[in-house]
Parts: sequence; structure tokens; C-alpha cells
Amino acid sequence: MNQLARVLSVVETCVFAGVGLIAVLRWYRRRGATRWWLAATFGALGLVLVIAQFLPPASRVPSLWVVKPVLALIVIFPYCLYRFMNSFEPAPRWLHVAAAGITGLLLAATAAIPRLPAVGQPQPGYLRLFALLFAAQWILLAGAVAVRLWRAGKGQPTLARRRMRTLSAASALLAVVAVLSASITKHSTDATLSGIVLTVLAIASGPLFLAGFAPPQLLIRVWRRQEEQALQSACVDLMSATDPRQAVEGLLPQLVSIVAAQGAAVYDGDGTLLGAHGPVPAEATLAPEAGRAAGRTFQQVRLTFPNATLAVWASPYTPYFGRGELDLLNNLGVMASLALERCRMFQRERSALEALEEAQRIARIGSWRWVPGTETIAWSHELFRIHGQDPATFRPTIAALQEVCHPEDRDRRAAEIRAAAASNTPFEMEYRIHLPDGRVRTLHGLGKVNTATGGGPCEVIGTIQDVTEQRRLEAVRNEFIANAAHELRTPLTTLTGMAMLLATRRHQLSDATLGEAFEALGRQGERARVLINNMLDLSQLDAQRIPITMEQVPLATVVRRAQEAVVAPAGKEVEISVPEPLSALADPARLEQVITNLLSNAYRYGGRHVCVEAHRAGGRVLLSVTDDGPGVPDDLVASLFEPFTRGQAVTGTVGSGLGLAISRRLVDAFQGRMSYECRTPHGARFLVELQEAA
Amino acid sequence: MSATVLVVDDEQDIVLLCRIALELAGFTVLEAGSGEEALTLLETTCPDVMLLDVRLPGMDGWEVLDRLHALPAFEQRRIIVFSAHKNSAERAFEAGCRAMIPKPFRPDDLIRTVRSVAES
Repeated sequence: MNQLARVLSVVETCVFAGVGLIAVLRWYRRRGATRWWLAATFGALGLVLVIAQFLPPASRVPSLWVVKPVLALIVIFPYCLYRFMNSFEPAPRWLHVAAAGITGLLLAATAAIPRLPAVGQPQPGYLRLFALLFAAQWILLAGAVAVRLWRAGKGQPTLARRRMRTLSAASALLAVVAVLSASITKHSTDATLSGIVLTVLAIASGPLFLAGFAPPQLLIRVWRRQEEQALQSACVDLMSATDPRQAVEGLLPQLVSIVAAQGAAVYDGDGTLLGAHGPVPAEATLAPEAGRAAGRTFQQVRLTFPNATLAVWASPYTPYFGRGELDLLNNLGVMASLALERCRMFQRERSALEALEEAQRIARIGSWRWVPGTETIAWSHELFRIHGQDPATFRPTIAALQEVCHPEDRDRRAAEIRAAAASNTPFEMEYRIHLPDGRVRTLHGLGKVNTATGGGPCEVIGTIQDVTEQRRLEAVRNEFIANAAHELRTPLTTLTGMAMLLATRRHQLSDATLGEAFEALGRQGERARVLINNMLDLSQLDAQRIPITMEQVPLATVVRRAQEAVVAPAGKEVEISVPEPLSALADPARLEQVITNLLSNAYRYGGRHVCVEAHRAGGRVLLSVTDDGPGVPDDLVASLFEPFTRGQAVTGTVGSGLGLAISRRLVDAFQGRMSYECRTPHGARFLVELQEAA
Repeated sequence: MSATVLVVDDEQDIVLLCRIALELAGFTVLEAGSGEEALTLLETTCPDVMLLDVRLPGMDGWEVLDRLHALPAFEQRRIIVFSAHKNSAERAFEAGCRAMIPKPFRPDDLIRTVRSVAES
């Protein structure tokens, strides 16, 4: 029996010396208050047990000089364990005072022990009192550690919780062993048996302590299985995310569960919050590193990566017990940082693509790529829009494009493409297409053949621009120039022809004919002058270069001036009905030009009776010039305000064909509106709607 | 007897210029301001040469030519077209015209062309 007790004693010494050594080494490597108190705790215990091996056998009383330091170390052990516990979260003040008080008292009592009783003699009273006080200290301190660690383990991730609760159990076990050791009577068979049981229990507490503060990898793996699954799930989410916020939103709940944090937040490289989860304290800033939120103490753990910062508001136990989890978090952070960079690249690519599409939409240019030998051509979005096709249903194949091409342009287009492909040269072409709704568009295409290393074409790329509007404007411009040239031919023919006749054959002409010739010269000279002035006006109005001075214009005055400027031919009746105080906002000289034009048109193309009328209508001023002539022929109404639209004059000289076009543009410049309506039973009415002067 | 020329143009001063120039050259000149007026005149008279502007208000010169096609005496008519556009020369010849005078023209060219058509 004694032999067994002896062996167990050696084993116990080895176990706790090992535990002590590991605790000291861990402190030596990483330092910190927590590790220091742990090293002190198990260092003291290991030292006690090693010294105990060198004490004399139980049959001899050891020297007080040896016993007292050993006792002091035994007294210090629970206090160090208590301080280790206290380094996470301060204990209540009463417990702190009680711990220090009882430990101090025991140390004093140890110093004061006068002597030890001889072998076989009963324990003196002071030693029994010492044992009682010793038991009280162990119960108080090791018990407090056990209870507090057990409770703090609640809500921790699996590994940390198991470590804390293992430590709690080990503390409780050692406390029981210590209290029982102090209470049993020595030198009996029962005592030896109890000693063996207690030694076995003490030995058992060693691995428990070790599992608590330095768990082996195998145990870590088993305990951490749940968190590792969360980590894997988080990794999958991260890898599939394409948007930084989406990545962060998927990551944060997993992150919080891995370290059982109160909250977590992710910031980008310049400190902007990308996302937060849980009750993140202090408005989710990076500032607070520790404090209290929602009644719980927290510790901020911050992990910084090249383009992201991860902040976790964890429990104060996390940095020590959740160290492994923080390593997991670190791995996750690295992956999150990579995922965020990937998302940013995605975003950059997406915005570059969007910018390109927007630019294509504005310029109405689409791009395409075709690999020879394949049927389908890759189109940009704009090309679908230009062709009026739905990207979901239309497949741009060579045959389909030939189909939408205007029948008159099909062969030419196909021949040009063939020639370009054969010669491997850049090409340019223009053709028309039919849209699904029947409209026709003119497209201008540019293309380039890229050759492979062998010399054959490997791809053909190009752009297609919708030039319908440009071509329409060019046609309008060409028509305008042709019309203007035509309008100038008549005055020019008359002027040069008459001049030549007068220069060479003047003496052969009668006075009457000479008179007619000179009148014709004057008329056509004037016509050319008016035409050229009107063309200049029109071009300046189109370029918005005519200075318009808006002011309050009394309509009666301006109508009167216009009436004076263009004298009514004989037989025309003019009725003016414009109230004297009525004013409109316009440029007075230009408004007079508009009214003069309308009056001369009425005289030239209208009936006998012409009426100029103005009245107020809903905050606007409505001025009309009406005649009872045949009205504008139906085929001219649509292009009435286009340049060079002209009817058949009833009397006098023909106009330039530009008057109404100029008038409409002038009224537009006054922010007004000019329109025509047919009068029943016959006649023409031109309406000018202007802003009323305040 | 001097040849008769019918001038059809809505521009009064062009008609006047043609009249002065052609009368000086010894032609008798008839005038019409529109296609309709010309066709009415042709029902009663038979000019030797007709000067026809293609751009006429209402019935244009081409339509006048089409109507003249239907008349049996058309082959004998000698028509010269005033055209604003040079490219309408082809159309004029297809329609049976003998010559074309582009505007603006010189009185000498007008007289020479009318004379050559009248004498052919």
C-alpha cells in the first residue's frame, strides 16, 4: 500500500511538474498577465510537489524551515489561480478583498507556526485552526474560479466553452482534494487509502488543467468541429459573392458564430463601414477597444488586411480561450480580403462595361465580333437596340442579318463582306435594314479582320452606327441647298439675261419694253436680296445665333407697324381687332417681322378679307391672322413651316418660301408656339401663342 | 412667216425675258403661266416650238408632257424643257423633248436653241 502511495506520489509530482513547466513555457513565449498568473499557479504547485519528494519519510518530522515555504506555496496556489481568473474580468470587490485577506492571513499564520508535532502525537489546536483556514481559502478561491469560469463559458464557442469548463472542473476537483487532504488524519491504513484516492484525483486534475489552458490538437479538432463547418460555409459564400456588400452580409453571421461574438463589422481599406452584424457598440466605429454594451463586458478584436479591417466585439475570454478561433477568423479575414478584392474587380469590370454600354447607347454605335466558321455573331446590347431586336429571342446569325438587310442593299453588303474577308483588309460599308415594326434604318459599319499566326482570319470585329438621323439631316440639307439654288436661278436668269439684252440690243427695244425690262430687273434684284437675307436669318436661327431681346411688347403698336410695312394691295379689306393694353413677351422688331410675314402671306395667297385679332387665353396671348381665301392646300399643310414650301400666289410676286419657316423659329425663340388651322368653310388662320407680359 | 414659240413658266419675269429675246430674234411669242393654261392654248393654236418649265405649280411640266403624248399632233411639236436640274435631261429626252435649257441661261443660248429646234 505504501509502495503504491509512493509511486502515485511520484506520478503526481511528474504530472504537475509537467503542467507547471508547460504553463511557465507558455508565459515565457507569449507573456501577458493571464499567462503570468497561470505560470505562477502551476509553477508554485509543481515546485511544492517537487520539494515534497525530497522531504523525509512520514516517520520523521521535517524541519520547519522546509515546511513553511512549502506551505506558503500551497497557500499561494489558489490565490494565483484566482488572479488568473480575475485577469479576464474583474471580480466583485468583496471577493477581491476576501481573497487577498484570507491569503494574507494564511501566509502570516504559516510564518507563525511555532513547531510541528512529533510523529504519532495529536495535532495541536493551532494546526487544526490553520487546516480550517486553509480549507476555507481553497473553497473560497478555487470554488470562485470554478463557478465563474463555468458561468462565463456560457455563450462561448464550443472550444472555448469546453476549455473554460474543463478548467472549472479541474479547479473544483483540486479544491476538493486540498480540503480533504487537510482534513484526514495521518498514520493509519485508512489514511493511506484516502491518500491514494486523493492522489489519483489530484493526478486526474492535471490533464484537466492541461486540456483547459493548453489543449492538444486532437482535442481542439474534435471540439471545434461545429465552428469549422461554419467557416467552410462562410468560405463558400465568400467565393460565390460578386458584390462587396453581399459578401460581407453573408460573412458576418458566420464570423460572429465562430467566435461567439456580440457583434462584428467589416470596414474597407479606407475605414468605410461595409457591413455590421449584431449590436455593434459605439455606432460601429473602430474606436472602442473594450467596454460594456448591453450589460456585457466586451473586448474588441481587430484584424487588419491589405484592403479590409475586421472588427469583432467578443467576450473578454476570447483572446485567451478563443485564440484558435481568432486564428480561424484570421484565415477567414484573409479570404474575405481576397473575396472583397475580387468583388471590387467584378464591380470595376461591371461599371466599365456599363460605361461602355452607356457610351454606345449615346453614340448609337454597337460593336460585334465574329469568328469565321461559326454561325452566330457576338453583339453588344446597343446592336440589338439599333436592330430593334430583343436579345432574349433574336440570334444574330449571318443568315438572320442578311434577312433584315434592305433587299436593295443585300447583295452589295454580302459582296463587300466577302471581299473584305478575302483580302483581310479593314472595311467600311453603309446599308439599310428593316426593323421588326417596318421602319427603315441606315447603318454605317466599320470592320477589321484579325489574322491568326498562320495568316488566316481568326476573327472579324467591328462597329455599326445608326446613321439614320445623320443621313436624314444630310438629305434635308441637300434639299435645302438644291431649293436655295433653284430659288436663285429665276432672279439670276432674269438679272443676267435682261442685262445682256439691254447692253447689246437696247436700241432695238421700244420704250414700253424697256420699262418692263427695268421693272423686272428691280423686282428680281429685290427678290434675290430678300431671299439671301431670309436664308441668312434661317441659318442664324438654326444655329441660335440671332440675338433675341425679350421685352414687353404692346401688340396693337407692333401690328400697326407691320400693317404700315406691308401695304395691302387694292381690293383687300383688313380688319384689326387688338385691344390697346394687351402686351406679350417678345423681341419687338422680330415680332413685327413675324406679323409682316403673316400679313404679306394673307395678301399674297388669301382672300379679299384679312383679319388680325388678339386676345388673352389662360395666361397666354393668342394672336391670329385669318383670311377667307382658299386656305393652304392639303398636301402642303404637313410641311408648311419647312423651308421652301410655297403655295400658288393669287396676286403679286412670289415669296422666298422661307417666311413661315423663319416665323416659326422666331416664335419658338420667344418661347411661344405657332400653328396653322384650316378655316371653315374656307380660309387660312395662323395662330401665334405668346407669353403674356406681367 | 415667223415661227411661233409658246413659253410656259409661272415666273412672269422669265416669260418676259424670253419674249423680249425671242421677239428680237424674229419669233412670235405666246405665253402661258401654268400647265393648264398651256393645254387650253394648245387646243386652239399650234406653236412651232414650246418652251416648258418642268417646275410648275399645280400641274407640273412632266404631267403636261404626258398629256401631250395623248394628242396625235405631238410628234410635230418641238418642245424644249427649262429644267432646274441637269439630271432631268434624260427624262426630258425620253419624254420626246428635242432639247433642254438649264436655268440660268443666256438669251443668246436661248435664241440659238429655239432656232435650231424650229428649223429642224
